[in-house]
Amino acid sequence: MHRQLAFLFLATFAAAPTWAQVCKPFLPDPPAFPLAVRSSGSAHIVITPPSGPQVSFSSPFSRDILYGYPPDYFFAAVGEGWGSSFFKCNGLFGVRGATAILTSPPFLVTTVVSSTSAGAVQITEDGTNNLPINDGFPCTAAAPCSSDVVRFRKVHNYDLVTGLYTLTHVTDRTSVWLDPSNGNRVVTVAHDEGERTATLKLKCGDERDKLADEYLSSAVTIKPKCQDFTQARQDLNFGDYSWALLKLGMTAGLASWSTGGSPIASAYRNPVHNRSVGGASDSKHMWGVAVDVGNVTQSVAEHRRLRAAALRAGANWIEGLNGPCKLRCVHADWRKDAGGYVP
Amino acid sequence: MRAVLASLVLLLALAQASYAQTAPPDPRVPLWLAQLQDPAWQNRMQTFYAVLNSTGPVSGSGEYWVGPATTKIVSVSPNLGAAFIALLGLENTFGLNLLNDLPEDFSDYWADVVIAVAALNDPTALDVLSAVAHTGSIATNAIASFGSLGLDRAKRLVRNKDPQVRISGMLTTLAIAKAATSRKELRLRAEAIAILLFGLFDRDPEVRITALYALGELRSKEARASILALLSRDLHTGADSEHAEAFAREREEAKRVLRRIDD
Repeated sequence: MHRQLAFLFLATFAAAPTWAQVCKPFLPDPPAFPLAVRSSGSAHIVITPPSGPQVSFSSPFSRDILYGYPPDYFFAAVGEGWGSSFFKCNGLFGVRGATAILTSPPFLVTTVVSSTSAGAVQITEDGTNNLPINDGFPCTAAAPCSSDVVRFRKVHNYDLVTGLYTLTHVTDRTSVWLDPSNGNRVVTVAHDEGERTATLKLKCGDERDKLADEYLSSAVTIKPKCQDFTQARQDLNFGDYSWALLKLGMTAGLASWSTGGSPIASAYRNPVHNRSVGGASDSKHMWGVAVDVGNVTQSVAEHRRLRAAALRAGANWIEGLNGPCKLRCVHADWRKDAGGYVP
Repeated sequence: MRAVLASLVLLLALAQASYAQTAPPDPRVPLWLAQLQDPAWQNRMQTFYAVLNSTGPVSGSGEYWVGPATTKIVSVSPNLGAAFIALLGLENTFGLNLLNDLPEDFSDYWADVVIAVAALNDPTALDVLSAVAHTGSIATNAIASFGSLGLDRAKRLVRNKDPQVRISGMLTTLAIAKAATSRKELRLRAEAIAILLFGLFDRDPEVRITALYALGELRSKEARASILALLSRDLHTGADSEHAEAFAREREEAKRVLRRIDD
């Protein structure tokens, strides 16, 4: 038992350096404010967040419990006893090993990762303690298994992009994190037999993988898919990649916007680039629906002319003289466009 | 300004009074109603998006999410409709009166509030929507969707001293005329065309260009004589004007529209 605990301790902490790269603890270790995570029996978790109602969960799975509650407080409770590691990772959440006391039998757990129509990756864990062992030892008449059949089904939804990922391998004690070295999502699994890592590789197979991941790890509302990006219309690509998102409604609107030859000052921006230029956190430039047309003369008259032309071009939203562009340019967007992307 | 603020306070009070009469199912509504009046726009913005996000995912029709989310939440908690209208009034006060440095996030959020209010399809929102008619088609199309009520607003817009607002009035009128296709709407369409013809003689060339554009879109044969008159006038006065470039564009647009009408 001690040997198993020691192994578990080592196995789970083996992931710590990676976590440290991508996640920041958002609670001191141990928790200093009244967020109590405790378990009793097989796994009864009572969570008292700093505000909001107390919630409780029951699960026969008493080893790793990953919960996001409420949406702003992503956290993980590990094992029975006091959870001791909490991480907030920009909407992702992870778990680092804790000095939990493992009293439940080891399970064979199958973890299935699938996509949902809502644009999330769904991780379903389904397990049965079908090993003739208890706490690492074979069940015998003298030492019967205390709980030799435990069935559970648990579903975690991770805010990833539908259809972008291929699962290579996962099993129990699952946590999903972003590997900053290559932008891949990685499912890390701590297992009694050692740690296993499942890599969710993006399917695009080119720099769109990295670009799509910028959307995943930013506050942008949309989560584009591989096929949404284009390499056409490089004149509208003000991002860091050769790929861009461009909505057909925007390009059509721009075509009818009589700019009188004024240059385009900005159009598509990838999230990292948008941040670097101080764009809005959900800027429509990242949606591929916004264009800034430069006001070369920087005159009020020219600004007015460009705005008037944008109105006639049916732009949904045009910023005025006091907008972030000021006199330098006129921002217009077609955010309500329900059409597709430029192929 | 004081009158605007007083009417906003009244709207917010009505929203709360209305709430008291019919308790909504979502227990967070009272808190939201209070937070939507927060003096800091950042807090109002945070609440606005929290309210919309509380609906969960909206249809995947490709439509921009704010409108469907608004319709969904207001169907459950109708009090939020009045609160959103009042919110747009607050944001208009902030956005229209700040002379410089409108923050990036504010501008993006302000547009979403306009979309939310447009989605309400509530004629009591006509005031706040008219105040932002010059910001684009979200507002002009929303005003136009009210038909004759919208045309009354368009008449006011085309008399505004700001040319950009008058342009938005012309485009609102165009949207109304385009939608007036049934026999019983012939009068509405005729009235709309009359407003556009009035726009041909506006003192601002951009307004005249917009009126021309609108009449071209409608292929309005009634406009032919007026456009010819406009061409004739510009030929005599435009060449020496400091607005020669605008006049040249205007003449080009007039010729294009005439060709379109005669097609």
